[in-house]
Amino acid sequence: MSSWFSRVFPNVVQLGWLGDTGWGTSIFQTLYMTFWSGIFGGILGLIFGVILVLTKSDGIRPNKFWFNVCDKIVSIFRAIPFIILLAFIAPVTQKIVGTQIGIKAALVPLTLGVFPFYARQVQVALESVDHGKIEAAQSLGATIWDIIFSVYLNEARSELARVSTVTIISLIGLTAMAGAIGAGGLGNTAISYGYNRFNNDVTLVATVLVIILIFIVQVIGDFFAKQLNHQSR
Amino acid sequence: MGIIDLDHVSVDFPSKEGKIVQAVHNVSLTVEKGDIYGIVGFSGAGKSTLVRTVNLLQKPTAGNIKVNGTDFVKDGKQVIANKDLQLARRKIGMIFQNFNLLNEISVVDNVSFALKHSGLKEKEIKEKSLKLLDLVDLKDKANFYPAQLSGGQQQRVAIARALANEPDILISDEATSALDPQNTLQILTLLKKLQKDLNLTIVLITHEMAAVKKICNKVALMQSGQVIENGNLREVVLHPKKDLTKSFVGGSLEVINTLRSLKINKLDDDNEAIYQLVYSMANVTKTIIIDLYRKVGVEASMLYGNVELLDDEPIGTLLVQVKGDKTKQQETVDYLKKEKVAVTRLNEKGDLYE
Repeated sequence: MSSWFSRVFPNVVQLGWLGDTGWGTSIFQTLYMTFWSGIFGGILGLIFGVILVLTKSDGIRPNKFWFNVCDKIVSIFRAIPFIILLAFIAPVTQKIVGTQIGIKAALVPLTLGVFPFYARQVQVALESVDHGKIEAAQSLGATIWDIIFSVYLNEARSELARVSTVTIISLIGLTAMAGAIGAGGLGNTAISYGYNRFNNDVTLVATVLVIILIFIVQVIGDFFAKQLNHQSR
Repeated sequence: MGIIDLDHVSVDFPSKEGKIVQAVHNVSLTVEKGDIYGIVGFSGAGKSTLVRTVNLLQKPTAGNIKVNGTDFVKDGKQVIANKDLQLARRKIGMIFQNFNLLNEISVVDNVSFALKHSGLKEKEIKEKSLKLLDLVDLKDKANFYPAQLSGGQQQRVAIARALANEPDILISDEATSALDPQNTLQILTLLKKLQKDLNLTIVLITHEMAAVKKICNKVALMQSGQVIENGNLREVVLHPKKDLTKSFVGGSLEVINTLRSLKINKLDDDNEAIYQLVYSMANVTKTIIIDLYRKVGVEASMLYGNVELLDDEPIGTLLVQVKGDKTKQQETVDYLKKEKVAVTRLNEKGDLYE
C-alpha cells in the first residue's frame, strides 16, 4: 500500500509530514488561520451586522450617520479583491503585529477580508427576524440589550449558524491565498510545491484535503443549524 | 380623566411618492379604568396605528397622550424619557395577531423574558411564570417550544407573557384574527375573565363586530384614520348614527356573506330595496314583517335573521327585501325608525346603498 502510494505520489511523500514543507504543518497553518481570523472577523462582522440592523432607517435605533459609516466600510472592504488587500494593508499589518510576512501577519488581512462578507450575512439573517417579535419585546419594556441578545441574535441563531458555515468555507478559500505573504497553508502547498514545480500529485492531494476540510465544516454547520432551529418551518 | 387619554392624536406617514399619508387623523378617545373598549373598522382604517400610540410603539405626529396619569406625548412631542417609557410599557401589556412569541426559547422562558427586569430572583421568576401559565391553563406545556403549540395555545402564552408584570392595561391587536372560531371564543372568554379577576382595562382592536359584542362595554368605529362613532356598546348598536356603523353593528361580515351567497339579481331600485334592521327584542314587537304589511302595506321577505345577547339583552338583526315604489319605501323607513329599529339600506352585494 505505502509503496504503491509513494510510486503514484512521489512528490507528496517527499514533502513529509512535519518540517517547513510538511503536510501536517500546512494543515495546521490552514486551521490556525481559519480559526483565528474566523474569531476576529466573526466578532467584527457580528458587531457591524448588528449596528447595520439597529441603525437602519426602520431599525430600533435609526441613525443615518452610523449606518452610512458602517455600510460604506463594509462595502469598500468587500470591493477590494483579497489578493490586493493582502498587499494594500501591509503597512497596517506591520503596525498591528510587527511584521508584514508570515502566518501572524496573514491574520490581519484575513480578518479584514472576511468580516465585511460576514457582516452582510449577519445583517440579512437578523433582518429575517419578524419585526413583530421586536415590537412584542418593546411592549414588554425590554432594553436594547435584551432585544439584541434575546431577540435578534437568539431568534436568528439557526440562520446565523448557517451563514457562519458559509463564511468559514469562504474563509478557507481566502487562506489559500495567504501563501502569497508567506503564511503557508494548504493553498501555498498546492501552488508553491505543486503547481510551480510541476508536481501535479502535490496539487491534487492539497486540493483533496481542502475539499475534505470544507466538507467537514459543512456537515458540522448543517448539524448546528438544524439543532438550533425550533421555528415552525 | 380616563386611564388612557388620547387627545387630538394624528399619525402621518411619508409615502413613497413624497406625499403624506394620514394613518390616524385627529382622534380623541378616552378609555376609563375597567373598560373593555373595542375599536372596530376594516383593515387599513388606522386601528393598529392608533393603539400603538398608547405604548408609543408608534410615535404620533400631533396631539396629546396620557396613560395612567403620566404624560407620554404633548403637542406631538414625546415628553416621557425613554428609560421611564420602558418602565411604563411594563404596565401596558400587549398581544398581537401573530402572537410574536420567541420561537427559540421554551414557553415558560417566554413568560420569564417579560420578568427579566422585575427584580425577582431567578427561582421566583420561574415560579411566577409557571403560575401565569397556570392562569391561562397551559402549565403542562411549560417546556414546549411555541411552534409545538396550536395558535390558540400560543396566544394564551402571549397573554400570560403580557400579564407578567401585572399591567393595568392590556392591548389586544387583532389577537383573535388568526384563530378559528372556537379558539377565538376561548380567547375572548379568557380576556373577559381576566379583566374581572385582575381589574384590567382592555383595548380590543378587531375587524369583527362579533368579538366586540361578545365582551366589550364600549366601542369606537374607525374609518380612514378617524373615529366616526363611539360610545357605550348598547347605545351604538341600537342607535347607530353613521351608515358604516349601521352596517357594522348588524354583524356586517356575516350579512355581506349571506347576501353574496344568495347571488341576488341587480335590484330594480325604484321598486325594491334591501334593508338591514337591528333592534332590541325587548322594545320592539317581534312581528315586524307582519306589521310592515299591515301598517305600511309592503311585502317584506326575510333573507337573514339572527339574535345575539348584548349584556344579557337580546338584540335582533334582520335582513329583509321590501317591494314597493319610492313612496312606499320611504314610508317603510319612517315606520321602522318610529319603532326604534336601526335601518340601513344595502345593495344586493351587501354594501351600503348609495
